[in-house]
Amino acid sequence: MILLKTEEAFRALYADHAGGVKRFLLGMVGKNESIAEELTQDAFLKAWKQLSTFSARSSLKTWVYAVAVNTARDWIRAHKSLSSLSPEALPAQGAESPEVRAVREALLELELDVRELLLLHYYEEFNLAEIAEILHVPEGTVKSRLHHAKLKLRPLLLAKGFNV
Amino acid sequence: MNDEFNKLDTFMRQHRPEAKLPQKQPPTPSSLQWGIPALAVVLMVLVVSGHFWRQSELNAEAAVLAESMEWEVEIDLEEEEVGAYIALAE
Repeated sequence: MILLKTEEAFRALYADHAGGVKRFLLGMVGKNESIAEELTQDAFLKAWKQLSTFSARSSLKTWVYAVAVNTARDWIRAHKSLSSLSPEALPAQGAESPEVRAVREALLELELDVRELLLLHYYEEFNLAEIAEILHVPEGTVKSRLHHAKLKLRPLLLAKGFNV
Repeated sequence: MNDEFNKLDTFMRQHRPEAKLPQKQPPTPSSLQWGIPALAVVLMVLVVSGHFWRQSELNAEAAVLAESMEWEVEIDLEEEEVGAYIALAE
């Protein structure tokens, strides 16, 4: 149905995944919500325009996230001077708890590829096979990178006083 | 690996931000909406005009052939019929 490229199909795709994609992009760029929203719209438009490249072998969800990952990378590349955000500059997002905010701050201290992996794993709850599909790397590579990513994240959270 | 990071995994999952839909309206891919039907119309026009052009060419060819063979035929032939005449003439 989605391949019919109707406005309705596009809205359904957006309704199903825009919230998660925005959360992922906010975690990646660490700016305010309006930038994450713009990037979300940008990602969905790109996904729509590139729909002909979608292979039925992957799920539409992992495919949309693959586009979102590239959108985030492009934005960060173009705004390199802004991407090294200090945690203090992180704006509060609505009613989020201090712990959730502290986790976001910790993630922002990590390198982009590590952050990307942890966001897909913890926030978007993708399994190893799905992450491999999104990042176009073998599943074994994801497993090993994730192990190292967790080793990097843990001391940051310990330093913030969390018993992890 | 699972045991080693059990506490971290549980903590991270408990402190996952909510997924909130963007406040902005979904983008409208209007150019694509119009682009595909427009392309379909152009293709259809090309196919139809190509068919009529080919038909008139064949009829003209059949008329010349019939005249040279001193046949009296009605000049409104389908492609298969013209093919048959040409084969006969050859």
